[in-house]
Amino acid sequence: MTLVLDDIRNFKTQAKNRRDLRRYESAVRILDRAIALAKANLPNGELHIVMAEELADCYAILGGVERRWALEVSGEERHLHLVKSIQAYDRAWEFESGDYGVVNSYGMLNRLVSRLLLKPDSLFTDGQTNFGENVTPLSMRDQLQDAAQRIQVQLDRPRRDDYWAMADLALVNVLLEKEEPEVAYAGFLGKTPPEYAFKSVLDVLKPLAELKWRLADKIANAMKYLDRPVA
Amino acid sequence: MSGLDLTRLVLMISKRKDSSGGFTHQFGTGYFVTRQLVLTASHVVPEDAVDVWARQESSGTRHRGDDSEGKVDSVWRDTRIDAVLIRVAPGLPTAEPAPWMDSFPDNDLPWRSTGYPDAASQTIAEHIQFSTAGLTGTIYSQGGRGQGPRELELTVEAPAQKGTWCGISGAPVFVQDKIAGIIKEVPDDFAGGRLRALPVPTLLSIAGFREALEPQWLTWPVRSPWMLLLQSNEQSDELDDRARAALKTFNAKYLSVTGGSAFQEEPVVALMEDSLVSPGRWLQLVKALCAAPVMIADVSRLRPAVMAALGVRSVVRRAVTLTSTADPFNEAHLRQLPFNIQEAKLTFHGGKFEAKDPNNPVTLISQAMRDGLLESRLHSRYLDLPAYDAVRCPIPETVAGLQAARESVLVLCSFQAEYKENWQALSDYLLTHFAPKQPVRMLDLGSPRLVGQALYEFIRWAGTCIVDWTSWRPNVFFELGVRLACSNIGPICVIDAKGAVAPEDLQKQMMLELFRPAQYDCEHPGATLRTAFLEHEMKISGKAQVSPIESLPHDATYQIATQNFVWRDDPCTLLPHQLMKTSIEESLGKDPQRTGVPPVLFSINPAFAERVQTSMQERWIAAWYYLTNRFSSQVKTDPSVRKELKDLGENLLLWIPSDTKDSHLRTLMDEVLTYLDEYEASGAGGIDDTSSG
Repeated sequence: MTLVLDDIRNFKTQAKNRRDLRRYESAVRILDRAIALAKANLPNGELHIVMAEELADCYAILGGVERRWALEVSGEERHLHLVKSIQAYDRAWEFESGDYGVVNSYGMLNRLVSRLLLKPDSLFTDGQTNFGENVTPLSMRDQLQDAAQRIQVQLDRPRRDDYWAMADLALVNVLLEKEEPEVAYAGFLGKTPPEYAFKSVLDVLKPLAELKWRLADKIANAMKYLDRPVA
Repeated sequence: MSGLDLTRLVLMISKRKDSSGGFTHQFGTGYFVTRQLVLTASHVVPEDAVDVWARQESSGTRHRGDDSEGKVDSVWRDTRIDAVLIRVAPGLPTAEPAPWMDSFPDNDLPWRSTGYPDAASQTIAEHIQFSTAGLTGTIYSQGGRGQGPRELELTVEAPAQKGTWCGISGAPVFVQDKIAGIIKEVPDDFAGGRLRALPVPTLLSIAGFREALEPQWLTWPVRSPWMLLLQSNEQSDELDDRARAALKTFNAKYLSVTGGSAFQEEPVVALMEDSLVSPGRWLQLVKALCAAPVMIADVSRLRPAVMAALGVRSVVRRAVTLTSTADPFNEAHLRQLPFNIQEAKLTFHGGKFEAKDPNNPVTLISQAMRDGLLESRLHSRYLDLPAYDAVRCPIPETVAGLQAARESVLVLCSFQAEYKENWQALSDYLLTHFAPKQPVRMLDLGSPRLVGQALYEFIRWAGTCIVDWTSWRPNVFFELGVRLACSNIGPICVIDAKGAVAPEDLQKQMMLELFRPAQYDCEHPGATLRTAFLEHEMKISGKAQVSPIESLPHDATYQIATQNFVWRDDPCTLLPHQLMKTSIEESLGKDPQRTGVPPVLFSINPAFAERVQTSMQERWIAAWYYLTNRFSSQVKTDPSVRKELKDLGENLLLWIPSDTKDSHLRTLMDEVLTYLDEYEASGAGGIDDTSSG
């Protein structure tokens, strides 16, 4: 007897492995199956919240796969995958911010990171930025401020001691130039996160450090601060 | 009843398929011991028989034996002692249960029988005609002893020649009007002048035989999951109705969450007084306690038989057991509950509740089923009653420790103030009787461990366990149930003779009848207890197999629990790779990367976190190596093993950093990837994942 939840979790494990192996197409296909399964069970009252959580997670993983894919290609293809990444993270954020009881910041923050990779200037623009076709325009600074507040509230109770939340808050504070990387990431390090958490945080920082913008050095410093020799 | 009844005597005809595809027949004698059950020697109806018929001596009526999947289905069989019970149809609709001689003969006794030996058969027109032959002789009371199970040694007047006894096997041996045994063997060394029989006391000491003799009282579905509901006669139908509604609610709302098949929507109701009618009924209840995927017990007024059954359940099944009460349900009441029940989740089914009230018992029971089923799947150590794990702790490590436990005299009794006088009298006598062993109660146990845990461990290992029923304390009956189920040395039950039970308290009266506690008086406890203790000692040492048909053999509950325990669910049966996987999931959960909070307490400590990380990674590696090396051929051919290995591989990959510098891990990663690629390419997983971005 396998449960829907077990199946979805197995799909996620498979997809993460394909992502790490850079088999992005396969990862996307597996995630599509997980998402279809979760969507089919979302109307079930007893599974509603759990499926919403899984959908938020699956879409966020999908956003990450598309972003990594984008960063390995160039030109139109890069643009296309970044747009897909933003769309997936936006879907994750819909479940995080909707009336499902999902408490997370995975989609909330990364939909902004992918937009920055698409249009770095948007961080320094007051008011809304238009990111082109099929991408919802956003006022990036306002959204980052809002994200910081929300994550702080989450950290106060439901996500207390959560190293993912710590990492997300640190990144927001670095992007908003509120804190130096050493200060921003101290909380994350204090939680003794596992290896994969470091890898994941570095994977987010690396393309931001490679952008030609004024934050590049700071983010590179953050990477140096967090980089640990791999076993 | 006037002894051997020829209307019950049958010729047994067993059909077997031989290696060339033809059929052979085997003959013997049988005897109806109930309306539908025929007792005979096991070798008369071989285990590979495809068909069996019982032809009645008196009328020639043929009764067909049960079969399933092309083989004869025995109700009970013991090849070791050579006996079998076959259910046949149409059977004898008016037959009363056969009378049993429940003790070994003290002196030589005359016996008689009738059977179908070859010596009495004739071949007419190529067909064998079987005729019965009457037999008489003497049972040697001193014969049939020695090594192995005791037998009856029979002399025969006017014996047949040795080779012509075939067909007599299974014939009943009567002493006066009772069955004393069944013929099973012709010894080699008496030229056909002696027979050996299986004694009835041996049969009656076997719980499975007792249980099989009992007409089916409780029935439960084989294919769908079901709920067992325990309650006393005096309790209303309220919980029954609530449970029925809860099962419907569960099927409609929660099945999609827990998975599995729909539950039968009618609970299987076991009324405790019905289960106490006979030893066979009690043993059927024990079978049900082992089998029920979900059980709910009405613990209103904490009735003793319900508590004893809960004690049995807490040993034989890890999950899911719910308890419910109609008694007032407040903090004061909860504080009065015995500690064994205080740990369990108790619901309240008395009173009226609005439909949407979260405390509505229908809602509570269906949700408790959902949560129990889910949690028991997620956590292999899930428990909803105490005792299950504690009675499974390993035996004391040293021989001396085991010896000490085995020689201890554990007393399960009340701790109320009014019991003080009893304890003084009883412990004084126990110290005298069992000297130099000291009687110990729960509070006297020397172990520094949690009292409950040490108690259950002791209940299992103590060589002597005395249960004092005086005061009828619910916790004592729970512990009685635990002992009955987990030890092959049954407890010695005792009770103060002054504590009369009201005649209208049917449940207590029936318990007294079934378990027969020895009565004592505080002035002279030894006057009655000495005999009771010596008799018990004789039974457990195997020197006496006296088990009156109306009372429960001391180890019968344990025997039935042993045979019917659903061991497939026991973590002890896990193979190493499954054990590794389970241990990781129990420590970290099934989706460890999802939550950002370290699930292992204190693993925020960097040194500890590193060791946890290493340990988990190594467990996945160990699981992979085990499965690939131990089952190297199945990994290539068996789809379920292949799928298992694929899941292991996926989890293992997640734990190896893709840029690892460890050459061993790199090699392992390549091995895993090669397997996963092969697996996917074979179409088993349905995903082609070899294309890269």
